[in-house]
Amino acid sequence: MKTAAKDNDRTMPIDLVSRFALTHLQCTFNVSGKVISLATNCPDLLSRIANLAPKCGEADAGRLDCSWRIVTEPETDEVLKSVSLSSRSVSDDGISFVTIGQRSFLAYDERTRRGISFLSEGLVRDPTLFVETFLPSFLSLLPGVKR
Amino acid sequence: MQVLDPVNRAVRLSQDNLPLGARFFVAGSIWDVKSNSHEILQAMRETFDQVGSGQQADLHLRFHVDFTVNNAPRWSKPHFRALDHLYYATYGPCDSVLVDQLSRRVLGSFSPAVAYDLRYWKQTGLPVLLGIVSASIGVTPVHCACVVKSGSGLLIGGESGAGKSTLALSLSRNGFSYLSDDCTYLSRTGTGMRAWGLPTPVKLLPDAVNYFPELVSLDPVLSLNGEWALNVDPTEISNVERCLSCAPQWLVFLERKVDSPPVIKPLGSSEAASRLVADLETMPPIIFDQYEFQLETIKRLVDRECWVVQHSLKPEMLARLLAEICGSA
Repeated sequence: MKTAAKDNDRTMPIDLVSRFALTHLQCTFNVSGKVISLATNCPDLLSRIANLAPKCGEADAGRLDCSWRIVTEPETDEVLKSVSLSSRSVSDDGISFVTIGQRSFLAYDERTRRGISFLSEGLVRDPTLFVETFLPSFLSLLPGVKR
Repeated sequence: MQVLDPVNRAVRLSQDNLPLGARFFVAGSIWDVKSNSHEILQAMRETFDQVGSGQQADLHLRFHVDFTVNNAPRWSKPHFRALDHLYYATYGPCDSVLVDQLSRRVLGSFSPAVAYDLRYWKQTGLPVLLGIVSASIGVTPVHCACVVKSGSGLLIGGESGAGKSTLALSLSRNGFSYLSDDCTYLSRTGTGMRAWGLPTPVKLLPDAVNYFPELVSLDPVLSLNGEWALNVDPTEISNVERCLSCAPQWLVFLERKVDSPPVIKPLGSSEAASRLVADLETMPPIIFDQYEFQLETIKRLVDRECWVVQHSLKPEMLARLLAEICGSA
């Protein structure tokens, strides 16, 4: 995050990489046997995950397998179509990322067991894109999945 | 839930697919690079000093080129995002980098087209990467040009458009060596400090041809920040020599003041620090100590002579004035 340099505006934050994006919605899920804390700015994302995976109780929160922060952003001029949307996965020595299209990605660090993601809103809004593109990428980065 | 076929293309890096390696000295830090691309390593050799493998690395970079992908063009603008300690940059459909700012690792995958573009690596890719990893390796970028005289550096701050680049070049024709025009990297060595530049072109506003007529044949190009600028190798301007490192000695901030004689006045260290910190990237809690280290570097930097210059002078006149001040200080 940068701060503006103008004299009268010196403390105004400029967050060029959305580093301080809010992920104020939080829930814990059991996804394929993994307890995952998910924080996001997108209520639709939580709803879609909740339709697929059971929420965890407080007792499970103490045995988290990993934590994720996922930020959705409005689409720009990118055309999101399932048939044409390419994704690529790269991993080395405990860090991994999956690129989806032009502006969406997921990244995971095994050492801290933290993952982050920025997604175009369409990847969550469109049920087909969510199931066929986002979800496989997300699941491929969960702990225990061989990369 | 079922794990579906996760991706169209998956690359898992290992020694087998990254057989090439080298270490480089970058702004006071050691970078260990593994790759399968001679071209990427060549771009790094032309940008940084290569060193032996004896020293402990501060940053580990793994750059893979996927020769199976099509040479799709880069995006018109790169895209950057970060959360916590993970920083992601993408330049094209098959060209992405993930930086783990906590464990100081960089993981990149590129198309052959990007890997072979040495000019892009040297002018954009590597400078941008240094900016991203700087906090992790104890380097503090400051929004200043820098020129050098007898090993001592004059840092020139000021907002974009204040004339830092043209002044740096003018000073370089008045007894100084050129180090940087917009971003200077500071590293700490015990109680000392070094300022570093990169062998990248100077970015000049198109009206710089008024002061450097030899540039009139150049066409402006669109910069990452959206400005049209002339990219100039400073050593191609007559009487300009390049220097890549110095001990910072003086700090001056430029302010435009129309139709009045130049005013040069001392600047308090807290105000000078405030101006530099304003352009420093704040870090999230998980790596906030890296930001605090950078704040301390700036605090130590402004423990030097600092001035503010309010002026409407042409670069050549201002250069002579500052050269006199540095000569007598």
